[in-house]
Amino acid sequence: MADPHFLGDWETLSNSYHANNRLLSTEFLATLLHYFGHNPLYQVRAIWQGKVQCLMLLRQRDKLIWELYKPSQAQVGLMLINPAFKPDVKELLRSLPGMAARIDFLSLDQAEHLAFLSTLKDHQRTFYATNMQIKLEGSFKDYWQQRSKNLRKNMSRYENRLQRENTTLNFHQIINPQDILSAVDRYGMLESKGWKGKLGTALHPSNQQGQFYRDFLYRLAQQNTAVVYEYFIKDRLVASRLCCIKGDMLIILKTTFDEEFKNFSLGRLLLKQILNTLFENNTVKVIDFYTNASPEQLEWATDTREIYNSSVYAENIFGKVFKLLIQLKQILKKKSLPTITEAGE
Amino acid sequence: MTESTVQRDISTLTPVFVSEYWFKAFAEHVNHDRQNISLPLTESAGLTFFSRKNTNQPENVLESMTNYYSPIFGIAGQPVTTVPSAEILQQHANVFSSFDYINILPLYSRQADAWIKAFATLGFKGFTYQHSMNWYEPNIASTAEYWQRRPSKLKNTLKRKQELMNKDGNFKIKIYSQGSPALLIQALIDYHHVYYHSWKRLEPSPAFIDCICQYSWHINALRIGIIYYRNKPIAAQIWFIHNKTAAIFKLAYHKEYTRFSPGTILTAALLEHVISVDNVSTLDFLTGNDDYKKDWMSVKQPLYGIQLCNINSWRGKMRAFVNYVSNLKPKSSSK
Repeated sequence: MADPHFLGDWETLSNSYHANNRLLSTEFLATLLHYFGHNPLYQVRAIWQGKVQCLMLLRQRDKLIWELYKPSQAQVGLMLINPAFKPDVKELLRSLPGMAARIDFLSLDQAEHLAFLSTLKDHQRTFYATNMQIKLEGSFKDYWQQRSKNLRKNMSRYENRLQRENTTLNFHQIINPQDILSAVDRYGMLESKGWKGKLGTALHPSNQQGQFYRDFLYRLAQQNTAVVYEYFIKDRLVASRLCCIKGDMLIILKTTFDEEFKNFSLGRLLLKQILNTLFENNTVKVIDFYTNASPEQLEWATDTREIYNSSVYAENIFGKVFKLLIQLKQILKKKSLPTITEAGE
Repeated sequence: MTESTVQRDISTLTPVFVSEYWFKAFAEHVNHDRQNISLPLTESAGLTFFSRKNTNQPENVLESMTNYYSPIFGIAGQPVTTVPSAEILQQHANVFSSFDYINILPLYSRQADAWIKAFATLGFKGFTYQHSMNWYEPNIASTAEYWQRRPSKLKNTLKRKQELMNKDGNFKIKIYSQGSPALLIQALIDYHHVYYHSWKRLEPSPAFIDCICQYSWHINALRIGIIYYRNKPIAAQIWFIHNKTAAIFKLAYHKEYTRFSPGTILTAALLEHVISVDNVSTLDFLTGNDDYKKDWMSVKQPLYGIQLCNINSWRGKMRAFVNYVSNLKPKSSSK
């Protein structure tokens, strides 16, 4: 499935321009392709002055629309780009086989894809999410003092509740490759019990997603760049976070908690414990969440940035007609929305 | 859901498949997007259904809370043989009468007849059809006696494959029957890995399997058998024990190890365990008429589904008419 030549180029570009982002690493892409590869996928290389400047994989969604290959496990668009390169998307559209009228790029990150985003016109990109980071500068105490009073008060309340109910949380930090496998499996069993299990989107040792994460994190654990954090109450797993590291950045890939203990806010308590540990260890400098952060989550953030989706139409007749039809559809949709009236009218 | 930590004498257990916990877990993990209906009959027993109201189907249909996971249906918390009396059903007559027809399955023959009889008093006309087949082996006195009853073909295969595994020297069989919750979690993880690498389709509701196994582990009613090849799980089975019966619920093996017949070897190991350690006298293959089952079991019985048509609704009457007409046709698919 994965072409070694393409992966070789991916490795070079990833290390050159995305050195801290594990979600744009070769290990991540290769594992994704192994479990969630799509056939056919089209390799795109932008070469300038004899060097590869930009890499992406495209899939044809239908006869007219193309899109950046991005399975749901990829939290950031799988595109590598030299920050000094100016890509020509119109040229890309012209090069695609068949009647390519539009190409969609999902989850473009300002931190990783600025060179690409800056070539787009305003109408070609739409806001998708506010992502958040925590920079580990200074001590945990300093960081915690800088958090809102509301967050500190709430967290104290949860900690006091645990104490009142005489409940002890046991914190585990797992980095050994063999132990990582079991930790990912345990994570899956916990996540499947909750709302994600009901939606059918949870990972579990019996599904492909579960196999993907255990394989990916096992590979990383062999390089000492994977970690699973867990909270246990007695011998019962009650919260877990799967994380990967590259350079000085740790990314929280997945997070889950036992919904039977939701009053304790175990996911947040675990996050606080992780932060405390990471500040103390001083091994990574940034934690990235790759999430659409809620106001509650943003209380933890030291930095935020926007993630965009983008759609670019071809300049040929197909692109123009297709764009017109889409605009017409949007106008009709707006007109058909029911009028909202005040209650009691 | 809270789990009981009381270790019960397995001879007094009702099958897990009709326990209250089974139906609760089913509603939570399998039927979470359905309109589940729980009708209490006594303090410790109830009937569990789900409704197909508000779907595209014009008829109002009530279904027993069962699917491919369910080897049998019955009153929650009661032995399978218990069927509701007409008086007890009368308590919920207004609920039942709001449906055009009611589907209940799987049921043994006598159960099916009794359910039809009880519902007849509420104005429902019952129709029976064969749903599946149940293979089982009753009156087992010892493992030796069990094997005496088996065909030599099966015994020879088993012997040959055991020799093949022993010669390789890297296989290990483990039977999990008791221990810490962490041990069970690891056994379940191993089972799921085997299942993922088997020929079977992906487990649709793995959390349901996990919940039921955790519950059964706590009441000493679960046996999980795993064969490991160099510490990698390659065959796994889940059995439940109740009232001197061992029910074989789940079987899977890794596709790459087919030549060792790990399924056959694991079934033999588990049945040795349940007969000699748990004093089981009946082995039950639950649903399905797969060819290999006749080598392992001597007795089969049909499992039925029933359709109870509400004669007081015109759609119920129509359904009864359709069933009546179709019942006149010869049934070529009957086994």
